Amino acid sequence: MRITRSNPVLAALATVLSLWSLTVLIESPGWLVGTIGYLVVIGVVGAGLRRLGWTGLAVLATQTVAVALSAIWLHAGETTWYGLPTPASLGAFLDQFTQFGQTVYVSAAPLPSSRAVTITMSLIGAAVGLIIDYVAVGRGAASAAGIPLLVPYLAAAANRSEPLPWGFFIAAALGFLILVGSHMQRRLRGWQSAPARALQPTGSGDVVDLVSDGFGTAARRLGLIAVVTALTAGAALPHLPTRYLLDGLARSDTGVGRTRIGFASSLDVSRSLIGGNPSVVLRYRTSATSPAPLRVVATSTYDGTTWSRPIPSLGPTGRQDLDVSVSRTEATISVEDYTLSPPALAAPQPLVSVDLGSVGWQVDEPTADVYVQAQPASYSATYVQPAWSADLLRNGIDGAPGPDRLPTSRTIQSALRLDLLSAAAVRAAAAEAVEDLGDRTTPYDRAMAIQRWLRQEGGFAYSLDLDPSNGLDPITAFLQSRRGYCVQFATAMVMMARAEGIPARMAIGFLPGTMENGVYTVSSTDAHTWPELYFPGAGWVRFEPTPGSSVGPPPAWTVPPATAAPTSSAGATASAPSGSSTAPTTAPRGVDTGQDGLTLEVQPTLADRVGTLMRDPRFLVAATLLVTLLCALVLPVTAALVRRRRHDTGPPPVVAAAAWSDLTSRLTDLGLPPPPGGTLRDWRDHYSREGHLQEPARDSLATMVATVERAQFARPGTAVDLADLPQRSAEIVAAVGPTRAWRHRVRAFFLPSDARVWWRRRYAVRRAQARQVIAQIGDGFRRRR
Amino acid sequence: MSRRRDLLTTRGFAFLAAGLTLLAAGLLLGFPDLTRVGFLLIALPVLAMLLVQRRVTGLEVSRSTSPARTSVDEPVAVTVTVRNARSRSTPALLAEDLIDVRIGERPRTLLGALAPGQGRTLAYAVRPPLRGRQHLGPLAVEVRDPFGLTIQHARVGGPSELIVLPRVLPLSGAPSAAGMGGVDGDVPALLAAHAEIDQSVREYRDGDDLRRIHWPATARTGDFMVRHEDRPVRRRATIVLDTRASGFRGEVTSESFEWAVSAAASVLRHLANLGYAVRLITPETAGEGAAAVEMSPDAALDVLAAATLTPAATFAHVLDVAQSLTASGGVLAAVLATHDLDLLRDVARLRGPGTIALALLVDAGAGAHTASPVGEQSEAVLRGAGWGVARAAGPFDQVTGVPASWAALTRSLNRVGR
Repeated sequence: MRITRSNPVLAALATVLSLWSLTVLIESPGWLVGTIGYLVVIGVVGAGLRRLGWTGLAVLATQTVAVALSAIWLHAGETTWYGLPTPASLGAFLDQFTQFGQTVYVSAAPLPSSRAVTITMSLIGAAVGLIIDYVAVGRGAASAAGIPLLVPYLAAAANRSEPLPWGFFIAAALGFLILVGSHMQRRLRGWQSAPARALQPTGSGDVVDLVSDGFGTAARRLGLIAVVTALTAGAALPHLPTRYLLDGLARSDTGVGRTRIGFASSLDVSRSLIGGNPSVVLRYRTSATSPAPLRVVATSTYDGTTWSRPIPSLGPTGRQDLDVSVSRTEATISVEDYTLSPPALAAPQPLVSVDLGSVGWQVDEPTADVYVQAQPASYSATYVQPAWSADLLRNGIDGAPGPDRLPTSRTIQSALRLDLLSAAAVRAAAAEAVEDLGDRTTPYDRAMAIQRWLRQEGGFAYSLDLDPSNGLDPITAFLQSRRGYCVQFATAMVMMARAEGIPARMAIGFLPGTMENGVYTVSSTDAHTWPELYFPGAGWVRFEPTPGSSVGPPPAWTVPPATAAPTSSAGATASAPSGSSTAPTTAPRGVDTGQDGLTLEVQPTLADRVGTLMRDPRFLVAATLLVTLLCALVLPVTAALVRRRRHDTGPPPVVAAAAWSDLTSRLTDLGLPPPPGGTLRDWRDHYSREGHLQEPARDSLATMVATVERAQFARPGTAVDLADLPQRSAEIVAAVGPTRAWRHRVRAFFLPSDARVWWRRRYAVRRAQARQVIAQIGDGFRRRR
Repeated sequence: MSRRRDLLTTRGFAFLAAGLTLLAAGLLLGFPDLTRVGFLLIALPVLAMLLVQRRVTGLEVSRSTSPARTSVDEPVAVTVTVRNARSRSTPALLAEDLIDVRIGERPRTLLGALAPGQGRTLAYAVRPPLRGRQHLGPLAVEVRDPFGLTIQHARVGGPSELIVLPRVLPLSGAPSAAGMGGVDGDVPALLAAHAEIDQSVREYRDGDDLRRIHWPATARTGDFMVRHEDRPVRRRATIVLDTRASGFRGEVTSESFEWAVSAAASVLRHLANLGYAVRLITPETAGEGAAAVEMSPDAALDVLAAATLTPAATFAHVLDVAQSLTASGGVLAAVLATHDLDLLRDVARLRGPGTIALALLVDAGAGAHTASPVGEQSEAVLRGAGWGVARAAGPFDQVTGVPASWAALTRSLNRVGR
């Protein structure tokens, strides 16, 4: 069969309109311009080759080569050898792709529009364009091109936490519909072999042009109504809560999945902290006299801008690394009004046990973080308060401390890894911090020196506003500007400790909160980060480098006896930026005012959301409509079944009579009752006349009457063809239908008498059975008497 | 106007299925964006069925051909007129005239939407390569929506018939009676002045056939009256066409039989042009009794147009009729298959005393370079009975073969005469 190609210009237009929705994921739509350029290349190359008679994959391959060459000339011209690509060109692009991948990994939507992003996105767009051109133009399958056209739109939708603006849907849908409609018109033009002419001469030539005559108008009308229907119906229906099957850009927005903590510009403080309006995260009672911070996650994974939660290795228990010789006390905490979305669970560490009721949970083995499957409303936990002291940590709990005593596990290895970009600045800062130590060079002393340097000596200031980074990485920028808040302080201490050979990691969680009547209330402003340093025998020990009263006192074991008792207030407000609404939302990259990546949004559970949905009036309306519709369909379905059963095999007179009674009952439903008495032929004439039957249906009726007559009255054994009776009957009913009033037609469909009779008979049978049973019971009683 | 069911096309079903899937996925996963796409894909076919697909009723179709009768390979202009007789306008229509696939490609056209009373004409030409009664139409009308999601078929109007005559080729050379001892048939003593067959009524005389009594005239006059038929003044020619399927090779369209039909038609037309009153005897005319009277050449050609191969048994009847017609002389031209020698002997006897008998033997078994013993024997049988004979062998090319065979035939006749 000859292929009717779609218009390549319209295919490219549909591609652009579909790709347009991807602009919500990128800060600047500049990449789309690049894609349009590639689409022009694709179109020109394709048109040229197809004019030469090339088809199929050969065209696609050449177009791909053309796009690749133009991309190389455009972006990596210096790597070419007289215009020809070299391995270096490939390498240049691989670099760009890698950078793009990293950007996607560390950033939430919208992605910053760097060179790598622009280049990669425009090439992705070109790839989509190549596929669409191949499917729609090369293979002539315009409607199948809907699948590649859907991909960018869905990619945009899936990577956003909220629905796309409806403009994108309209654009993509119109692009697709124009492509399909124009392809159909092309096909029809090719299908036509002889033009029809108007009988009456018309002004604009007498050859029928389908675009002006019907098809174009119908296409526009149908397409617009369909798009409007889709928009309104889509908005009217209630949806279940959004669930993501894959980890995408959208999840980092809401933090449902991989928790991201960091300086990335993508973390919008106003979003993650709900507009600075402190909301209660949890309330708890505790048996401890001085409550410990509640940790949500500990992580060693830092990629230069962002702390991210590592892939957990879940199991029943976690490592504590606390030597048995350390004396300890246990404390309990019972949490209520818990609002953090799963899998996060806030609890003081090191945990001994946790009681989450029916909620399933597991523990990340290296960090002892608890991962819950669903959000618990309340839970209780028992945790250890080790009696660490400065001497204990300095001298080693089970022997002399030193780097050689560190376990060589992967956990420790990754907790020693320095970030390359900031390594130099961190080493310099660490050296400056520990230079006064002299001979006291135990890890604990060095850690204390770093904390002291950050809190007091280094001249650091607590500030929610960060200075511009001037292109530096966040840690270096912080060490230069010496202004920051807990995230910067904690990160700096982690890195400096690592530089000094002490394994360190980042802990993210909440300060103990404010106490009132024995109940501690932790609000979103209590979100906090702190470093945890590893000491053999002691495990991971909390430090507190963030200065200021807001954070509270440093842990007792990190306070040298001589300088104990700093200003303290247990119920201090947290380090979180209470003034985050004033924070610049267009902060320079990498130094955003984002406190941390913990999402404090209140995320109800799935069951809650389903419950909410059930109470949604729109859902009720939809459900009522659905139930009504199902009820309304009971009789039509019954009628269809009854009629089908009636058409079953049997002796010819029975089958014929059944078909005839089926026809008469359906015609009666349509308001065409049978005449009083008369022969079959009288009935036939009656129906023909009253039903205004035209030629084919009239024929069918005559044939049907003849067949029924023959089946009823012919000598037994005469062959009668009964097979087409149902079809003829349907033809007659279909022909009578349009001549009837709507009232009759609706009644005939929803209240067919066949079905009513069936149900009435069924009811009568049941009633008779019931009466019989009652009568029998009555008889039984009488007899017993 | 018969209607088949309105249906979604494959594309329509695909849209609906994809739409339902996306809708369910969108609702369950909570993606309004998916739901929108789902609704769009569902809405398109459903709206197309509701808005575009209207029942096609009230279309009036008429079809005319010019010329009304044609012969093989002659162009015919067909004009189909479609008019919307209803008070509603139709949806945009596509039409395909369902002409017999053997006579040409079916013309397809876009009728567009027809306002009430509006009409369109579709003109196309066919050049039928085969003779016969070919049907044109009915007109198949389709309603499609602009996205190709739904389709509805209807057939409007009935078929009309196009008679395609066999190829008539110009022949030259008259069947001369010179030396044959025959005449062109008895010339009646009483010459009727004006008509080929002039009937009058006269009084009954003894010896008149009782079957010839003309009862209305008898009742009117009170005396027995009989029909009185004048013998035609014109010379008569009888053409016999052998249609036995066993004699002509081939399945549906046998080349040799088509050649025979074309030869019969050409001879018929040629003799008619020469002033003969022609009679055609085939199983069809023999059965109807039409052969008993002279036919117009056009009517005879119509019969030839519809000639088909028949079982061998029917030919005996043809011979009986021919026997009664040729007894009184005239020209007898027979187009015969050669395979059955016994029957050919019966044929040979058809030649009465005053008859010029000509036979075109169609030797289906012989090719251009292969001899056929049966053919030679047949030729000998007929020549022996005083027939002029020409034998045609494959390949059967009508345009050159028929005139050549006729020329050979007239030559052989003259040779016999000398």
